[in-house]
Amino acid sequence: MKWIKYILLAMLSIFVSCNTNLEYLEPEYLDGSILDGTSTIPDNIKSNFEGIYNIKNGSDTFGDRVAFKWVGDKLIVYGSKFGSYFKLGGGVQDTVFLFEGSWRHMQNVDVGLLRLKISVEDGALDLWNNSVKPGSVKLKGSFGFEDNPNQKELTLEYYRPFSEEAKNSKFLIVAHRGGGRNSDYLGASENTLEMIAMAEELGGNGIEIDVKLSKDNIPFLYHDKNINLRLTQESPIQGPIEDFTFSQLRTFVRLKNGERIPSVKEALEFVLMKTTLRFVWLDMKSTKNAMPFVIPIQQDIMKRTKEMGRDLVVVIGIPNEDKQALFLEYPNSQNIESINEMTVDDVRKTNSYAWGPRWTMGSQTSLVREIHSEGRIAITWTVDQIQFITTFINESEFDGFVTNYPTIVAYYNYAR
Amino acid sequence: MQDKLIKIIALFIITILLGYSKVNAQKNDSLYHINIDAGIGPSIHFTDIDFEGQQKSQFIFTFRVMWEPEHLMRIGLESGFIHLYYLETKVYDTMFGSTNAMINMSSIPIMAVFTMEIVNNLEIIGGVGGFIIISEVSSFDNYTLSTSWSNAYELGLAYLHPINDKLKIGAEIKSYYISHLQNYDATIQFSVKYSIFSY
Repeated sequence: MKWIKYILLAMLSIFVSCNTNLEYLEPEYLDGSILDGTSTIPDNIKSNFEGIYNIKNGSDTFGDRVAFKWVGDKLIVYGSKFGSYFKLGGGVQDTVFLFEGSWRHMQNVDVGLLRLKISVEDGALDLWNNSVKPGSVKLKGSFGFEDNPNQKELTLEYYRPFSEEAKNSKFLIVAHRGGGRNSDYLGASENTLEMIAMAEELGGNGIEIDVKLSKDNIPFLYHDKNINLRLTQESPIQGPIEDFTFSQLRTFVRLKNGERIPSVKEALEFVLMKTTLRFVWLDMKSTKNAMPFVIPIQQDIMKRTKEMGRDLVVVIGIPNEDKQALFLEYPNSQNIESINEMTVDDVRKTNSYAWGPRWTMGSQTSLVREIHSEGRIAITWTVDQIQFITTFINESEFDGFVTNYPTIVAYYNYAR
Repeated sequence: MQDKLIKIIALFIITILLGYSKVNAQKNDSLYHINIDAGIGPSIHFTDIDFEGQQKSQFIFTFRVMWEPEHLMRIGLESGFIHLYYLETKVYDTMFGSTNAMINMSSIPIMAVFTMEIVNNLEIIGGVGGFIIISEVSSFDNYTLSTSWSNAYELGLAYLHPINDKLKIGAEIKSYYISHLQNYDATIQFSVKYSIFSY
């Protein structure tokens, strides 16, 4: 009867190993903000801050070099070491620049606070006078954790502006699941409007979102087959999520961070009206034929995109032969923007806007060139490891890739 | 914290069970029995879901077919019906307007069960398997019935008093952990054990 013990031990190990808690909390300074009473940094000098900086103090935590980029009113800092990421608010006091915000390692759950200052002696006037030169601007301050935010010194020195290659780069950084997964502890749930709102700050200029179809044929965003505690809070309804009507899901299911499940229409409206994202990949995860319900929404958004002169493409994902057959059944499918994940011949069959091979297939340069010669683009998925991120950015001819770490890809893209 | 405490208690009980089976593996009784155990009683479902009008106290009916060899450890299969909770409520202020909602959650356990008589007539019960979760919702003029699977675990204690050679009656206290929901269901049952076959 020894095997009974093994069964009991196996049962116990499963029992104690599950973790579906999301414990990430945005840290805050407990002594108030240094930005209180400051004036906003004028828009016309914001671009002077952008560029590549060397880290003089703090490189053991954040690496040697980072990229500065404004996204709206936030100064975002992207680094490669552990996916270093700063999100800073800024202000002006006399002629001095003050910055305050949080830092994060995207590849783990380290999170903390930092404050930085650019004094007149450290080049503040160069920023005001549009005369920033390598080494002329220094940001000095400290960083730490919420309970000890001034733990260590941090000094960053302006190294160079973005190269012309980086400035003109059309490389698509497609943030997975709208920005990141629940397991990335971003404070918003995957596949939500809240996550999509963060995608640009995280370095993305495109998103991939997962599409399901409700019982009453409303396409909505969700990844898994079932309602489960990985993606939702405890719900009074359980089972395959596509069994329920959208009103039932919307009313009785809360996503992990408390959000409601968004419809595809809401998500695309949000992208169109509230972001400057350039690319949306609708990953067709439905077990049903969602094409007749998703394509009209996508076509409406594409029409309005053109009317508004927006640089945005929304593509229907074609992951396999079954979905391809359903796509081809749709009237006039050859004129519908899509991304085909299968072979180059399949891409031609569906006249897809893009080819989306898996990254493990390698750089496939000759096929990518063929695709380019036909006026299409090629986007691979899902590239997360730094060694492959750099390889695909520097050595492949892909037009972009899907990633769970858009902050890291953004760094390497800006550091070209 | 509460979850961790329960897991530690489970680990402790299973450790005791494993140790006890090692030192008390044999009895003189050489008969093998096939028994049917059946029980019915009230149950409480421990959940964070908290709607007005929600009834977390429900009922449970379970039965198991057990093979009882000469060893102390017995093995069998358990099934039955466990009503988890029920609620009728009015939901206001949704983007679809307000609605009268009925939500019902029940389950059918399918468990491999291990029992052991630790002292006369007192059995400890451990089980591993799963629940077929049956979720019903009626709202916005639409009724939906959906089923899904969850892994589940069981721990319990039964006292069964012999009435004759074949029949025992008593009570059973046990708890199920439903991993998909990450919550518990606890019950006290009136139990009957009947030996249908011996060899």
